Amino acid sequence: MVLDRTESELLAACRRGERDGFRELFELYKDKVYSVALRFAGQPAEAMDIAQDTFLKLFSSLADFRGDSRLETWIYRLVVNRCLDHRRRSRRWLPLGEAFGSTLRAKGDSLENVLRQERNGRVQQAVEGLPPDLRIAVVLRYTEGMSYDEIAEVLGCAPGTVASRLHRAHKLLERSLASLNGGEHV
Amino acid sequence: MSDWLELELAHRLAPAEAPGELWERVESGLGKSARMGFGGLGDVKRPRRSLWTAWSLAAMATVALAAGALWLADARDPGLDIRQLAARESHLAAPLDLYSSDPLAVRRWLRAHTGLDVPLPPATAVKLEGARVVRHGSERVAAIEYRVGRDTVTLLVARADPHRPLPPHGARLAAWQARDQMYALAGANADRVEAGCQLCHASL
Repeated sequence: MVLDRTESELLAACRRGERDGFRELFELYKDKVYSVALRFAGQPAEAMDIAQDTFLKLFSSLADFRGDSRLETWIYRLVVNRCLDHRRRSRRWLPLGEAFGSTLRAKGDSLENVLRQERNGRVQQAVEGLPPDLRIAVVLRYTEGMSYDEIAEVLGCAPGTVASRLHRAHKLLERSLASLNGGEHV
Repeated sequence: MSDWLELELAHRLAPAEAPGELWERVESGLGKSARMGFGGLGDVKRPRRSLWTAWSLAAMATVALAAGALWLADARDPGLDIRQLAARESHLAAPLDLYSSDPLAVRRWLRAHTGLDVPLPPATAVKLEGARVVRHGSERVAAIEYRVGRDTVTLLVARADPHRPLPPHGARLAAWQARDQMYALAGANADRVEAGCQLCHASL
């Protein structure tokens, strides 16, 4: 496959210490890594920390990548581990204040923008309220659009376990977001 | 699971674009690691020119193969008039739901939001801008936007109806079907109708 061959060349360039190789690898995966971090942590500042840690770990441990799994799967594992570690190390400060601040900083001040921010905030808050193992499954499913098998490969568990975690997450989210049901989609 | 929750999660947890300063932070972190003796970017070399050549050739080959497969595919008409929809969408200039130039990210996002699998070759002379979902009755249609120079080109993808043949190409629109999906391509600039062709034929 063309992409795999290109990735292996890129990996070889990184292992030789080529700066542009690191940059290309970063460009390929930066949005994926940041998206998972942001949707898991909820706050851009935390997401930046997680994404930075992930790439530092990635670049420092490229020699350990043996190609047993796809590079993409390996990178997802790295960011998932950083997310879970970060959560264990830190506690969030003033989440409401930050959410309120981002609402005020939103482009335009139309009612629709405020409602969208409010709705986004409620969904994000409900997702953040999930236990970490359920939350990461939700993020991989809805942010990255992964199948149950793909999530299972990243998390190192059986597809049945993924199905069970997502089922539990859906039940909890249905309860906490019930008031959004039937509202206008903004 | 409830449909409304599925929609809310797919919409609110959509992928995000990494801030520009992330690379600076990574680079500075690597610099610190190098000073502490853990390797890094201190002693770097220029990449070989052949890597770029190989990549360009691979990208062009992928685009050519994809184009060939699509144009040779059997053409059929859907219940939905995808060409009409493509013409309308190309003039709407509606904001995208996802802004990304990463073909894999756009593919994953569309799969999550429309259930359609749209393999996108790496862009060559054109720039992938992102995607949005167009709702046509109960159907979700994928709209993928590209920039070709100063022109915007919209590629629409929907599920095909195997019982209705797709009409032949119009003067300003191309439509085709491959496997179980149908495609339509439209450009917003009436003076440069060939812009859309550059998605597959970069030398035009």
